Amino acid sequence: MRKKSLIYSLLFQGGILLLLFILQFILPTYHHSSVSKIMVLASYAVAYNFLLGYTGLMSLGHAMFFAAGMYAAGLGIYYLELSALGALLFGAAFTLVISLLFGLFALRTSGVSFLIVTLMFGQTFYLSILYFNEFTFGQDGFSLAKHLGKLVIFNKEYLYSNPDVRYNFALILLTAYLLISTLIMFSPVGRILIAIRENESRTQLLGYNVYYYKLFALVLSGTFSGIAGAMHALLFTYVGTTFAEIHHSISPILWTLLGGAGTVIGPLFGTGIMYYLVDIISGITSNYQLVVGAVLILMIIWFPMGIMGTLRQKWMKWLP
Amino acid sequence: MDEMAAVELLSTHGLTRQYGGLIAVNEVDFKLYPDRIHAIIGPNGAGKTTLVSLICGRTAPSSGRISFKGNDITGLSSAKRVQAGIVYTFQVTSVFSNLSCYENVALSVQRNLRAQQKGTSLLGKWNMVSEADIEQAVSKYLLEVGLEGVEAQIAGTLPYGHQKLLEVAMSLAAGPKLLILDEPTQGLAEAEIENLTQLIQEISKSVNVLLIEHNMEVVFNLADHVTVMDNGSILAEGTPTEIENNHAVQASYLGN
Amino acid sequence: MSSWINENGPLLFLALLDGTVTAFVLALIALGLSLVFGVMRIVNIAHGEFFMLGAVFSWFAFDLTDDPLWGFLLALVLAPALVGGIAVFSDRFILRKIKYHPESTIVATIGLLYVIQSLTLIVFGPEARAVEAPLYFRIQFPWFGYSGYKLIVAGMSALGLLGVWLLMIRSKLGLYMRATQQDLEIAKTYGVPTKKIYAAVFALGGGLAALAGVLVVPIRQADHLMGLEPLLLSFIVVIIGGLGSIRGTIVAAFIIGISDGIISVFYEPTLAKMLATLFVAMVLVLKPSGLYGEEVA
Repeated sequence: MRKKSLIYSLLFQGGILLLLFILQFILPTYHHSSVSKIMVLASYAVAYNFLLGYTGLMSLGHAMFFAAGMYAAGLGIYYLELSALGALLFGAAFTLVISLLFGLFALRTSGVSFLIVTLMFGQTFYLSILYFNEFTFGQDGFSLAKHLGKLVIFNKEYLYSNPDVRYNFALILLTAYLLISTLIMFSPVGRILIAIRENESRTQLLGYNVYYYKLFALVLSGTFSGIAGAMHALLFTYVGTTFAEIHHSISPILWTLLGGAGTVIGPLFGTGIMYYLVDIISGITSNYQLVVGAVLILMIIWFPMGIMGTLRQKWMKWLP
Repeated sequence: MDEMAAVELLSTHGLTRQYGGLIAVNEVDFKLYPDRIHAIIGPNGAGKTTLVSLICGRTAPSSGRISFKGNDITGLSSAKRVQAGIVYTFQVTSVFSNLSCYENVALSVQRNLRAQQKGTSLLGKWNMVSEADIEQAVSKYLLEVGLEGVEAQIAGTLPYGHQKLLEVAMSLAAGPKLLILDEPTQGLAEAEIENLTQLIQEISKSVNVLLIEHNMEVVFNLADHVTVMDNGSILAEGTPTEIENNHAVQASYLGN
Repeated sequence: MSSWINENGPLLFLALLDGTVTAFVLALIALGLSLVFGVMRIVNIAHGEFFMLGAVFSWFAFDLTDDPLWGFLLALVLAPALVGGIAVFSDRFILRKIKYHPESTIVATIGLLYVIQSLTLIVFGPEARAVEAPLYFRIQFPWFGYSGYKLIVAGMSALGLLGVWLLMIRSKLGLYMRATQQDLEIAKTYGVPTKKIYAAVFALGGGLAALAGVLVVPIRQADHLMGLEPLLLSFIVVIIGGLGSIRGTIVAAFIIGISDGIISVFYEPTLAKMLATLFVAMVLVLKPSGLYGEEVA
């Protein structure tokens, strides 16, 4: 039963990823770049969903992890002259430490307290980027275009911001995240995380130390968010405080809930739809937040399971 | 030297739990010996459920100590106590109602299987339990409680009596040394009670059972040893026949 | 030491004065958040937007009447009423529909935050707008003159706090609110109209924030983004004061208001905010009932 749904879902995701791979040869420049961006942001949402959808913990401070990865990678390149790979690893390692420290403290609380603690830590992190502006360039952020090396494939040099490089790196990132999510969800650990979401105290009384599993989920979610942030810095060669703001913590909630919390592929749909919705609205008015707000409210009232959650309930029972 | 054979499996020493001014469990010295079904009875509010909550670690004691198989377990978390073999089955069913029955039992099975394999496998701690082994064990436990074939059903959609059985299967799958059943027959129909009584009898052949029960017929059918609680203390102990003939117990409990 | 006082004494005094004014206003905003949390057991992320609406409406009334005093009085009456109406509407058509589920409520009120902010932007535009103080006079201290209106703000906030306190202990509504806060189910069985109480509390909370907005707008300008900072500050206050405790909220508002005043004068405001948010996170982690709070069941 489980094996069948694992195969189905890998095929389903494989199909979508293949479609995304083919799309790059068809899409006009503008959409080509949009889809690259969506894939990086969707990776962030997939990482977020790990905590919200599978473990049942809602964080209001995930921008901290995304920005931690982004700034670690960016500042590493700027000051330490790290290579792209080095910066990516540095970003991952830094976020790993941050999320571990954060988890050790924050997971002592639960429910609404946990939410507010994450909000406060996230805000502290944002304010510290502003405060140490001599080192972080504060509000203005900084560009990596002049500092980042080039990618060499078969003796040919490419910029990381080259559209094709960008698209395919984003696709690789997304593929890795989806694959890892799926495998974890079909593993014994995934089963325990879902049990924690469903009934934490019962899980504890089946002999599991719930705290460690929540810590694991948080560190994984945080680190993956950080890697997505580092990748964003590399591919879009810009590092800035907007990615540490509270809005950037709220976005993955929206993407995940809209796509379907607790479904592996849901966040990709949620991110894609919201990205294009905002993009279209922005063409009409600069005031796209009205739509974001309206979607949040309408969704939580009438569509709480999101797109893939509803599909799973109705037809695709095998969906992870 | 007969005493040597009867080393207690579980004992509490001066175990106390206060809630504000209320003393729910008062200086209780409770002893449980292996290889028999032990029942705790007593009127509502006597402290039975608080006592077992203290034993399985859901509640922390105000004072006193608990030991299990000769080790002090007072400071252990509830999860650690399950790993040691003290498994609690809820009074009100507490299955994962949105998950399938398979997942419910598998959750319990996989921890126990992994714990067993830890010693033998080269990979030790990091060894994963294969899904095939889990599947096999899940079917075994579901069969044992008489719920074969329900794997794919969502647990919350089972009838109440079956949810109780599922709960028992989850507990058995955790590999208990001591299974605590809190009011297992509550809310069940006559036929279901009979069925469950037989099941408990069967389970007790391999697992030590501590039973909290209101239904006296069930207690006297099943128990080898009975502890009567009242007002947070132990009022009397003995075989079911001794308890039946105990005047103090009759006055405080069985009489009404 | 004495030279430090000579040099910084006036500055310290100014910081204390400013801090006290901030504390009174903050207490008013945070009390609204605290009442909502205490009675309804929900966190309203859009609370800061109610404050912003009060401020913007005050500017609108000033613009309409073209007279600082009449505009101020008009706003003082109408802004809390209008915002209270919006709150009742949100309660009825959003919060009640999601059954006040804690996490859903947070998502929904985040949505409400965006909607209110954007609508304000659409209607009033992005500029920060100044409003003249209804009364203008200066109180002369040996070292500097101080705006008398700021002291009026503090006084009126104190009146507002007193009003809520009287409402809580004297009125039937207050009795119902306390009953609902203690135990929802028992309150229901005793015939407390909890649905109406929820709506009333949400309106009261929003009204208090709006009142604070009306009061501060002559001191600082009004714009559609001004809600976030008081929201975060009220969170800090409510948490340090103990979630749901009114007394604690007021005490905490003074601790935060005055220390914010002092740190902001002598150090950078960013540092003050950074330390405050870090502090509050640590309070929640290490002492979840708050520094001054009664245990919340």
